[in-house]
This record gives sequence, structure tokens and C-alpha cells, in this order.
Amino acid sequence: MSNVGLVLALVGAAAAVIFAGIGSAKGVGMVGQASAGALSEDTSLFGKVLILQLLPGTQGLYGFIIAIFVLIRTGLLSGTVAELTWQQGLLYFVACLPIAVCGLLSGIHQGKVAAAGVSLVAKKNDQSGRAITMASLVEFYAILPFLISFLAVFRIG
Amino acid sequence: MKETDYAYAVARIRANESRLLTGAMLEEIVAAPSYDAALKLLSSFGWAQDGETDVSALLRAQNEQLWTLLRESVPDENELPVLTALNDFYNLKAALKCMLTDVDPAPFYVQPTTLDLSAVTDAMQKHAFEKLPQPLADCAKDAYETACRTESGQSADVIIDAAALQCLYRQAEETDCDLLSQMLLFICDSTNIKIAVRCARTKKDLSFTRLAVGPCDKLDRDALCLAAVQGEAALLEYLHATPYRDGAAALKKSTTAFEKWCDDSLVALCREAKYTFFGFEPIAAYYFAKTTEIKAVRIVLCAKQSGVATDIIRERVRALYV
Repeated sequence: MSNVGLVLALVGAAAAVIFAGIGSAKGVGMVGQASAGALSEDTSLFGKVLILQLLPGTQGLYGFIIAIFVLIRTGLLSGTVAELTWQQGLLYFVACLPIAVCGLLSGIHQGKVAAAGVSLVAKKNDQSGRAITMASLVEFYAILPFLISFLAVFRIG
Repeated sequence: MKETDYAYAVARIRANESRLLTGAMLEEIVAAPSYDAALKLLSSFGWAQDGETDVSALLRAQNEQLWTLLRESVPDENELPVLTALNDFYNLKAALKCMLTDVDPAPFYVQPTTLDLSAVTDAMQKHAFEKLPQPLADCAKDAYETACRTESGQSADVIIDAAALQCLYRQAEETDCDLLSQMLLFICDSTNIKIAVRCARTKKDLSFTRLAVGPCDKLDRDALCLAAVQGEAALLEYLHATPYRDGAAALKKSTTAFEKWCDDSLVALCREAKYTFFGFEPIAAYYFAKTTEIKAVRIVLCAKQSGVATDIIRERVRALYV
């Protein structure tokens, strides 16, 4: 039972990577399909649609960073595993939830906006700036939970 | 099928939408001084190959491109027959009439169609109606037997047209795509109005009219049939009290004006899909938009070939999607 705290912290880290990763995978996949459609008609759009496809990929990266920090803070990366109480473990777990949940949802929704943006660029290729701006606005709601998770993980003693 | 599964298709369709003719382009073609000048303009808009002079070949190529694009784009080809249902039934009529008159039906078939036309020709010539896909098989047998019994091609037409409308209406009810449903129901209603007008003008009785008029959406089928039997004036009066008041006004001018109103209204419905980025709507809207464009170009080119005055062509030209 002495490892309960560590287990909870690792479940939190896993959730951050898994759920944010699923959000990104779905988002990037959706934009990838739209990009393939646009490129099949005009290959010169590659640079523009690539940026749009990259945008939903950041959620997975944020989840990955939070998980790495949890591993560092719990000493799993250095090999000196910290003794965590179950309360501390629970705190790590809860700290990972914002990026896990919001990463999942914002990744999917950003993917939808970016895929619609690809359709916009396919029709009017001078509109890529606007398409990227619209998709970037969703990013804000991945950055906020990332910051909260990041700060929370660092403040847990 | 999830709406997001159409991301690839919609992106391709949007790219192709940028190549559709605009109203201004069509006006330029209408205003062209000659048929050759109109063809040159079409060529400069990327619609025709340089040196192409055959209208039929030009339109056929556009239809083939449209169908190839849709087949390559949609995640499931089984969704496409809903778009070509009317052409499929039209081809059945052509096959039946050609079989009865011992003529090769190939030149009378229309594209695009999801039917294997050589198989349809073969099945009709061998009277093997069961080899046709449903719902064509049932109505083909019925239409053939009626045509033989009454020795009237018109009776067969009525049976096939009614089956086509029933098929469209059923597909409109079954589809999850709201806009497609609205389009199909509009086609049902507008086709029923055209049938009712023909019945009124040829003074058909109520039983024939009831047989010919298919299921309706915003029209009361019984009231439409009764009005048609009472004559064209009564029919127009009835239509004036329905959501198709504008259509009745167009019909009062001429059948050509009504045909144009039908196409323009369908394109207006299609425009709603401009704001949809997932699902089947943009694909269906593009199909109807492109077929309307092809029809508009055919009208203009045929009129130019026949030396029709520009003002008269302008009256008949359809509104475009872009």
C-alpha cells in the first residue's frame, strides 16, 4: 500500500498522455483526410495545409510534457523514486486532469476547425491566414489547461 | 457514416467549387457574338478543350468528370445512387421504349447513372426484369405489361415516373442529411406540379392524374389532382395558396419560366451547403450545382448554334451556385 501515491501519480501522467494524445490523433487524422482531398486537386497547397494539420497535434505534446514533469517530480526518471503519500499521489493525478480532458476535447474540435479551414483554403487559397487564425483560437483552450496542469505539478510538495 | 468521414470529400469538392462558372462568366458567354466565341470563352474558363466544337461531347465530358470526382471522393459509393435516381428511371424508360420499338437505346441513355447500362439493355431485351436492380425491377415489369396491354407508351411512362417519385420520396425520408432531404422533396413537389400541369393541359381524368402524380411534401396530393382535373386556372389558383406561390407565378408566364424557377430554387437550396464543412450535404449540393451549370451551358450553346437572340437566351439561363 506504500506505493499508492506513486500509482496515482502515474495514472495521472498516463491519462495526460493518453487522452491528450487521442484528441491530437483524432484532430490530426481528420485534418490529414481533408488535406489529402485538397492536395489531390492542387499540390501547391501543401505548405498551407501542413500548418493546419500540425495545429491539433500540440495537445498530445502538452500531455506528454506534463507526464514527463510528473515522472521527474516523482523521481522515476532519475531513478530515485520519491516516497509519495496517497494524498500527494492524488494531487498529481488531479493536476494532470485539466490537460487530459481539455486536450482530448480541444484536439478533436481544433481538428474540425482546421479541417474546415483546409476546405476553405482548397476553395480560396489566399485565405490560409484566416483559416490558421480560426484554428489557433481553439489552441487557447489547450494552452490554459496545460498551464494549470504545469503549475499544479510543480507546486505539489 | 460519421460526418467527419467526409473531410476528404468536402475538401476536394471545395477545391472544385472554385472552378464552377460564376454568374458573370455565364453572362459573358451569353453575350458572346457567336457560337465559336462562346466556345472560346468556355475554353478560357477551363470548361472546354481548345478546338472542341461538339456540344454533346463537351457536356458528356463534364458529366463524366463530375461523376468520376464524386466516385473518387465519397467514403462510400453506395450513397451516390440517391443523386442519380431520376436519371436511372429515365434510362429505364429509354430502354423500355427502345425495346418495344426495336431500336438501340444507347444514344438515348443519360449520364450520370449508377446503372450498368449494357446490363439494363440486355435485361430489357430478354424480358429478364428480375435482373434489374430494385426498385427498377418491379416497375419495369409493370410498365412493360401495361405498355403491351394498352399499346400506349404513355401508360408505361406514367408508371415509371410515379415509381421514380416514390423512390425519391422514400430516399428523402430515409436520409440523415437534412439538406439532401429538402432537395429531394423539392424535386418531388416540382415534378408533381409539372405532371399536374400536363394532365390539366391534356384534360386527363382524375384516375389517370392520381396514377401519374406521386407523393408530395408541401402539397396536398388529392387537392393537386382535383385542381389539375378542373383545369389549368384552378391548378394555378391552388398553387398560389401553397408555399409554391412564386412557382405558380412563373408557371403563369410559361412552362419554360417554371422550369427555370425550379432549377433556380434548387440551386438556392444548394447554397445552404456552402456553410457546411462535413457530411454529405456539400457533395449533394455540388452535384446539383454542377448539373445545373451543365444544363445552363447546354441551353446557351444550343441557343447560340440556332442563332437565338441574346435577350431570349438571358431569360432562360439558370441561376448558378457560385
